[in-house]
Amino acid sequence: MRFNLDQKTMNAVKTGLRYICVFVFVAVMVLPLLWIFLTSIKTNPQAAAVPPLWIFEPDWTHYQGILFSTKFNLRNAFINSLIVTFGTTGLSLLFSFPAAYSISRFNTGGKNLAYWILSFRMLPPVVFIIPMFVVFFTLNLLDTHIGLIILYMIFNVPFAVWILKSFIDELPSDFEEAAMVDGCTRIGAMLRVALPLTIPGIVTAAIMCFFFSFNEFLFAYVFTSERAITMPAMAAVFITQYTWLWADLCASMILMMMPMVIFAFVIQRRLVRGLTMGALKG
Amino acid sequence: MKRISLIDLRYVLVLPVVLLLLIFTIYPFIFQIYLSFTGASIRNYMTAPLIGLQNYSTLLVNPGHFWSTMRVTVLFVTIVVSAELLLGLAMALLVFPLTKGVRTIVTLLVLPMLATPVFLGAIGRLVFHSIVGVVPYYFKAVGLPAPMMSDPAHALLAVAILDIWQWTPFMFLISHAGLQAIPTEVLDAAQVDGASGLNQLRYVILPLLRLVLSVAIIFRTMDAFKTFDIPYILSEGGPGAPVGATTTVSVLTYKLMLTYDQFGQAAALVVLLLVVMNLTINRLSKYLLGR
Repeated sequence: MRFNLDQKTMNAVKTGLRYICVFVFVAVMVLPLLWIFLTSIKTNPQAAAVPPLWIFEPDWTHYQGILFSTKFNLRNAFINSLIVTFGTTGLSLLFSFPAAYSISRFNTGGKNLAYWILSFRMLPPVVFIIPMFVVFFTLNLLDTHIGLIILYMIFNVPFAVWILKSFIDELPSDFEEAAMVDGCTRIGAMLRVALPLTIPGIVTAAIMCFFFSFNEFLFAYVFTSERAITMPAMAAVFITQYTWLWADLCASMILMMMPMVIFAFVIQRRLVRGLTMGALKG
Repeated sequence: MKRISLIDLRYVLVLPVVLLLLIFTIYPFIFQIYLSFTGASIRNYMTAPLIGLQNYSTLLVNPGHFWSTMRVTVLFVTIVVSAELLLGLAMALLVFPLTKGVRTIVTLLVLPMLATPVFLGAIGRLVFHSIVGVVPYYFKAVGLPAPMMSDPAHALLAVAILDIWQWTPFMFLISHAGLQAIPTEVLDAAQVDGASGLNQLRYVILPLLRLVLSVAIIFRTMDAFKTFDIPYILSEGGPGAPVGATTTVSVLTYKLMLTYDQFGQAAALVVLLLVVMNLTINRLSKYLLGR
């Protein structure tokens, strides 16, 4: 009896210690974000105050400035980011779904094609900047939305094909075969039967494309300057021209994170799988 | 007849993707390799004279930019991938037996991954700023020497810390998912057989996680190799030039191209980078996955 009780207390203590360690770790991971948020509602001089301020009158004007005025071109950049991101995501899925379907169902090109497509995802983006700069200069695509969308698709399409393929692989082909027996064509079966059943995969792929395109900096920085400049490229402007606007910088970052936080909640359970391109079952 | 149309269809469906990738990658590759043998700059890349292997010899032998930047990159990759793996795995093992609040923990830990890296780098300039920075302030407050971005070791560590902060959650999520997939009977059996906690970890849990962790290591190594945003924005590849303490291969390529106007050398560096990355990933996946 006594032994049992001791064992119980021991276990309770152990669990308690575990929770404390976990709490400390989570706090360390979340604290920087909290600090960034706090900085975003300080005034710019307060943001650089020594010693750092923790209690102050919140000032929400930076968010208003970014969203509702043309201050520093930030609203324009935010809109560009959204255009490019949604454009890339939509087009990538449009290209990828048929390809993923074909590879999954007919084993098109065997393993080679699938790995060939995946290998593009592994290329360092910096590989593309020299030759694409030349191409874009010739075709007048510098500083345009469509130029950036094309570049992002090179990285997003391989990724989307792999995620979608892993989802279609799990779908029994019986449904499509039944539909075809009932007189549906292969394309019809793909669009009316397989497509609706792959929606979880499409959402996962879409959000991963969204993350990549929304956060991408190198291409945006090299290939856009004024008209099509995106938010990540604006970060470079912040450190060269607007060096004293720390609070606006932090507010921009929080605004950037908002759509992604919402999406991450939507696909919480499939996030690991998305991040690892469906290579693991998350 | 039906068979032929089926065969056609499957190629028609993959055609857009294959064409997109071919058009936008084959040409750049060939052009890149061609450029690496010329003395191209931003003005004369179409008419640049061929100079043979001179770009490669400059990178490899003469000032040896390639070796310096490889040292920085490999050091960076080693630091961040091992730190992320250890921290993420330790965290997952801590969380594993817990029953309450796991979802909240996972949700909170996802947040750093969603931060835009380039903004992190820019904000890092404020955080590590030697006069107004929070980190130096609190370091001094507790009597530690303040980190200086002008110190090569500190600069590299600052860049590494941002990367570790952002990607440890990734290793955690993967380890966590891997642990969840271990059948409970296996762990119960080990416990009944009297295996101590450490032995369970070493002989049961780790071997079962091996595949999952290997894939995660390969992914992170690949991404860390390409790092550009944070070292470029936070420390501009410096301190030191042309190859400073945080000049990763990507940063050096960018600088050779747009700061020093050496298209040819930048192209040669890209070719070398592709070779090195290919070898690394091949060796690594052979070693880890046994393929």
